[in-house]
Amino acid sequence: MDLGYIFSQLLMGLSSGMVLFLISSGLTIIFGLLDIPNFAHGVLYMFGAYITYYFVSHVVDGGFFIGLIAATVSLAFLGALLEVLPLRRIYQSPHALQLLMTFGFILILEDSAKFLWGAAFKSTKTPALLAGSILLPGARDFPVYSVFIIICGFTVGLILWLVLYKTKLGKMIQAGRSNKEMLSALGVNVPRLYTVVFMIGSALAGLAGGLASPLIAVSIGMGDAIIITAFAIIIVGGVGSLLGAFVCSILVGELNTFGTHFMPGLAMIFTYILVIVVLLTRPEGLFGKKLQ
Amino acid sequence: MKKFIQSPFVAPAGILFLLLLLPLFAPMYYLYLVMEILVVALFATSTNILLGYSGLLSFGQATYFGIGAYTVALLLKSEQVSFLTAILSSAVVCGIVSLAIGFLCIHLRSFYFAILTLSFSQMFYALAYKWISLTGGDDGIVGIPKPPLFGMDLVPAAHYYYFVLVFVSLCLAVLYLIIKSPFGEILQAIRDNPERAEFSGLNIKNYRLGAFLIAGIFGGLAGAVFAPFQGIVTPHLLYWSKSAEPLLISLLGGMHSFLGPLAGSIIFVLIKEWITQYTEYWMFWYGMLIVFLIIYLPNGVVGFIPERLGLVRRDPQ
Repeated sequence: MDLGYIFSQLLMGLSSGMVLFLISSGLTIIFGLLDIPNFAHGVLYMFGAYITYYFVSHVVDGGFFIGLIAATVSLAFLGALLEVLPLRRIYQSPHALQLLMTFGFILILEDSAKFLWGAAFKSTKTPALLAGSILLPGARDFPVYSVFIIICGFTVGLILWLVLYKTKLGKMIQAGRSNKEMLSALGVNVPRLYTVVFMIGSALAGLAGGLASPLIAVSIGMGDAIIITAFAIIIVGGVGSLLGAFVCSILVGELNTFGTHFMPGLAMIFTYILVIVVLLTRPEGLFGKKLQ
Repeated sequence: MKKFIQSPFVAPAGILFLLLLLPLFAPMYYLYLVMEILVVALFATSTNILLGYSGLLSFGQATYFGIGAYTVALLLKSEQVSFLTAILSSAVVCGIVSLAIGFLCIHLRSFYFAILTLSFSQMFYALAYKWISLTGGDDGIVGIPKPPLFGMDLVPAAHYYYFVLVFVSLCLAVLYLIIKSPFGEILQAIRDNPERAEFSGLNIKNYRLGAFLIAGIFGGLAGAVFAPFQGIVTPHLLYWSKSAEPLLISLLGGMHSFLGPLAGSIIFVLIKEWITQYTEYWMFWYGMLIVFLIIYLPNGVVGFIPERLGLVRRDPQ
């Protein structure tokens, strides 16, 4: 096993970490501000994949990119729908009921996807523009598409960081995490802010699904496995922390990639062990605020 | 007359009586339906010890159902162990596992507790899936026999039906006694106001661990009687979505009442059977039901009816 191989595996881990980052960033922002653990985030990701698949299979030229945009935008609207109609009524309810309601969303959306697209596995082809591979130092081939994902991930991360720390919207979001009443007293429309944040999170999940669609089989259940990983990431990283989501997504991506190499099949256990260790030693996560 | 109906034993006794007579006039399909409801009800009631009575959201109860089922399956397939021993073994194994997991989990609150139980649950799922030499992996264990119990042959459907009916009723009775005991009262006190309970000198962690142990054991027992009933066990029994079912069922039926989970199980199984006759998309409607219930009827069906009939004052919560 040479350095070239290690390097290419590191990049693969980075690439899968970026997809995880897109999902978990949305999840952590939603949880950070709205205090809602959105179990349905996985199915939003799944919907993004299916929508992208739809455009790839029905539009010949540039179908994939149109599909990506369509997935992102339509998931934003779906998120708005979910937030405005049922979700907003249970902000005061205990976490247990919130988790169960988002689980209800999972059932609804999974069957909706089954109704719209059927239960068979689908696959999207990598767009021609991004097909093929590049040669890495160490004489290893590396898929162009994975490079694309890495670029997308970093770009989105940068945009999110800019929005959260350099714009007024970002300041409102951060302020809302500490003191919603004060924010409201200052004249901010907090319910609308909540909806916007939920839309952003959902859009990110949709984008993640679209980006992942050429890599893995598009299936109804694809959200179920990834939501657990996403929650693991945001807990280890610290709920509400964008940096935590970024770092831990990469960490988990690498764990999965190298874990699959050394112990195929049991790779997922590493993530769970990580969560368990973190929850028992430092429940606020690596970058989170100390719990009261 | 009103007081007679209100007595908590009349309704269950009446239902039990009807159920005892069921094999005399009902076709086998209904026996299977009732058996499924009973197993689900035991599982849900055991989970509700944590959810409704202790205020703990455990997203990993499927672990114990699965472990109970696999323990019985493996022991019965070896054909060297009696049914009774197999069932008791599953209780013991689940007890040990729940103590171990519970010991680690009870230090955390609500959401983090849920995720920790979920993480452990997924680890066991991975074990069941990958430890092929023990569990058969994705294929599971098939051809689980129904061995005789106390000399009685359990292979005919009606016989196994009576066994499940009696067994589940006994388990539910034990759980009821636990809830009504001082231990159960203290659990509820801890649920309602943990700080006050602690100031009274109670070690709330121990009580919560006790609840976790009970839920694990009886969840395992539900799995134990499920294994011969179904004839096959697969790793999917331990997947996290299977842990959501007893939670939803308890919510549906009413998590603050003892028979709530039973009511929820009846509704859940019947709706699933009924809806699947018309459409394969029963999960969609079940999801809608859940969303509707959480918004409008957080006390579940069992909570709703007595309120409406004026038998119970609405809790100013």
